[in-house]
Amino acid sequence: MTDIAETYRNLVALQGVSLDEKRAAAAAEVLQRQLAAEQAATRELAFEVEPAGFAGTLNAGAK
Amino acid sequence: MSELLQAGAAELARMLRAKKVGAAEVMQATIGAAKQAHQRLNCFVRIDEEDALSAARAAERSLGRGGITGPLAGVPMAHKDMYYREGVPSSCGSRIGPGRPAPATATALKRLDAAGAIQFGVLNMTEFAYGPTGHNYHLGHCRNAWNPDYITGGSSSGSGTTVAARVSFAALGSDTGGSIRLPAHFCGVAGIKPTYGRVSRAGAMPLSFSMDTVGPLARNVEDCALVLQAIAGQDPADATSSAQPVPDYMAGLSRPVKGLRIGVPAGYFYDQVDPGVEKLVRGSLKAFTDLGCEVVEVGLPDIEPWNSAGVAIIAVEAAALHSAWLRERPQDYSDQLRARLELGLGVTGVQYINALRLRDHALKTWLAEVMSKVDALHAPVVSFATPTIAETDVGGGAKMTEVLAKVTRLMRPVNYLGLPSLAVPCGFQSHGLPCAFQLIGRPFDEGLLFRLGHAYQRVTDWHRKLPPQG
Repeated sequence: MTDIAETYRNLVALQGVSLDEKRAAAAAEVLQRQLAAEQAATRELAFEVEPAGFAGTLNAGAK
Repeated sequence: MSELLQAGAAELARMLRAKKVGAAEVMQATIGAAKQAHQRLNCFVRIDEEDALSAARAAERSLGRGGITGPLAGVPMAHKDMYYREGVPSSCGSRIGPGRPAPATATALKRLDAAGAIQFGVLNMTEFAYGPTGHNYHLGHCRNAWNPDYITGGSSSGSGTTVAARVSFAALGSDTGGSIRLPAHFCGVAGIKPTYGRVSRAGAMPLSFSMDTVGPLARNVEDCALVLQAIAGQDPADATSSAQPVPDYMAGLSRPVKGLRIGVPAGYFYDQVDPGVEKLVRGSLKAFTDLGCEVVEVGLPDIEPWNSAGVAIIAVEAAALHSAWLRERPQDYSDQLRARLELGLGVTGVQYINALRLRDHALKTWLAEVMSKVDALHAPVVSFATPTIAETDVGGGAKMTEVLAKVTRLMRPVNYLGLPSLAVPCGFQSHGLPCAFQLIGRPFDEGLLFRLGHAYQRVTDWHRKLPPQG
């Protein structure tokens, strides 16, 4: 098991859920890929952007 | 199949109002068909025969006196078993369920009741609505009305297959990552995923409060419009429900579509598409051209990161909702659902918030780069030929993430952007399973999608094809 998989397993254990090594390893791989994609996408986001803006944009987007 | 059951919901409602048929007779036929269909398709969790027949007789008396004027008066419907009715426990497709009788009735059900619809049962669904194929490891897998060896799609699996089998005249589903549009595609029915906030989520089992939407699957687009009309609109019980006015969808159906611009995506939606699916979906554009629509190719921004961000949001919110049961009753989840929920425990707070922060930027980009050029985007629902239940029975194993991500790839960006999307049947694949396209619209522009979908169904007959009777 990689260090990252072990870290993930410990993080989940901290939340009261136990995982076997195989499951932790598979999940850690998925999480790493998702995190990398999201980090790339959010790198250019303005410092001030808040989640709440979405609802306003959705409503303003109506014809 | 009784001819009574072949009508659409709107058509049946008109027949009932005109007293060409009685509500009790229709309900009796519906329940008979439901019992038969369940043997073959494993589509019901419960059929409420006595209550439904009693309600149908009462509706018939009232219709006879002119006392019921609701647009769905006397129309039988069954719904995904995650819409709460006061005092009744919902399975939510799980072994756990919320664990108690529902404290209040879902707003969507209250509004359908007020419109005169009669609920006669609750339908199979993916466990806690978190899975796109229609497998259910507790209640048994739901089966496709066109061929029981094939998947129904999920998570509104029972909704898709009972509407296809001409058992339920329409059915509520829910769509967090494709769960209305996928069963609509796989089962050959129409389905509308409304704009986020268009329909109240109050009393509907939550999966991801930032992404969950409530909408119908129905036999045709007109029926989708009729049901959405009944359930849409702001609700004090759901703070995220929108104050945007609800237009008269039914009146808008007959408006011309000539001159409307339909976009065909230049990338992403066709990147990995099966040639058979592509032929059917692209082939459906001819009808729109013939109707006078302008079909234009449109470039898309980079959507792939939005997909990942959407996955992160759902994973975290679902894991939060299920955290106590994950600790205390992990053995009561299927292996697949438990594995997916555990993923959410590993997404960091920073990643979750950034996924939410990116959402506004993504929507602004989409509106500026895509929806400024077209009235609706036309795209496939899935990119591959419909697989069998066995082929996609991946449980919680190594292939799970890859298989499920492939099924939802063309769905999730739409949920992330909060946009409406209508799935419309457009033919049959070489192995006889149905295929649909989706029309993606501007926020709260469901009416235009209905107009386009209805125009398409006026000049095609895919929605009238009936699955084989088992």
